[in-house]
Amino acid sequence: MLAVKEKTFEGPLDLLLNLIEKEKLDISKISLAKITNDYLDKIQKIDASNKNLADFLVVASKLLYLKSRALLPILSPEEEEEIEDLESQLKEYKKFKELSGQFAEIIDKNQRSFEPGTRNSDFNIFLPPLNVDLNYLMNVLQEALSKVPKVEKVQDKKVEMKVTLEEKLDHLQDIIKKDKKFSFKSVVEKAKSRGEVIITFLALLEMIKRKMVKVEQNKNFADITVEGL
Amino acid sequence: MTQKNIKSQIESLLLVAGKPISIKELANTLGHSIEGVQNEVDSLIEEYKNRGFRIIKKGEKYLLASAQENSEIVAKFLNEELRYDLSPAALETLAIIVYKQPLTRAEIENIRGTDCSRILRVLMIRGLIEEVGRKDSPGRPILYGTTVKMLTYLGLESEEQLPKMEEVAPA
Repeated sequence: MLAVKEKTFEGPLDLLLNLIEKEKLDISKISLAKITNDYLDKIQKIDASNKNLADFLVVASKLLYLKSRALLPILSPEEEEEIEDLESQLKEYKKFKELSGQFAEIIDKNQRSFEPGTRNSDFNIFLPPLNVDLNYLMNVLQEALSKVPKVEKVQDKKVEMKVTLEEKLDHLQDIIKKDKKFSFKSVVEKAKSRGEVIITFLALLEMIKRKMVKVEQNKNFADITVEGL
Repeated sequence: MTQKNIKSQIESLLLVAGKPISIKELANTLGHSIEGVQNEVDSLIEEYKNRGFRIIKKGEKYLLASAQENSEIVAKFLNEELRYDLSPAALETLAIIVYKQPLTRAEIENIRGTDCSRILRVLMIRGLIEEVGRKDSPGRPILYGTTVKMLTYLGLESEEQLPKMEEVAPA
């Protein structure tokens, strides 16, 4: 539902009908063309998150179409049909809106009948025990809340890049130049942080990709021997 | 079997049924003709005019329910709200279903020009409408129709008492 100023509209047709009736017009192509601007004004105010917005826009596009037709009267038969559609749809909607008004009047008489068996079976109603009062509910709530594990705030921590990938690459290349081959483990052992180990491994992967080294590992988690190519 | 007997038996059946029951079912149970039973039911409807119960007629089905003029005291006894408010949108949707049933959600939305799924759910929970079948078209969509409860909610005894709808003039 959409709140436009003082009145709530149930949908685009409700809004359209309201605008036409405010101008004391009949439902016709001419009156629809006339209130197009008012309609567009109203839907400007619709919250973009309204899930029925699309429905309002469909009608808006039909109205604009109708208006442009007044300027360019040559239309194909199916285009003609589309415009008739909006007019008859609105007329039909109006009928049901009036009928629903009559329904409301009937309901307002407060004269309904009840079927047998209404007493227990219809709905399961929740009734609190007699001793429940506000204090009791407060206590229960507090007790329940105390059992809820506190959400520990994870401290924001910036991962400091002590070593960059490039630096590590250069470093490994230096070792290769010097020793021709090295043990990955021996390099990693010297690392000052977990981050550095990761960077070292990334540098190694990069070297493999660039076909600068070949690597050998005998089994899972064993040391990796890196050899320059 | 005397005339009086049949009438009394129909009365008992309507009482214990507790839900809508068709003339055919009554006739079968009583081993009596449909016309005969129909006459007796019609006569009961007349007799109940000044009593505390009413026979509600919806299509072929009949339901024994409390008299409308006693609604206040009955609601008090049932500890139930005499009326729950339906939103204008829900009433509109109900009106469409009343006069156009059976019809699909898409057909209802076409008339209202907007989404009706939430409203249909409310009307279903209230027991005012129900699924009455599937439409023989792609996707076999659900067809909705009104219930006897729709009549008791409005305090009407048959669909003939509903406001009349003039035909929508073809555009």
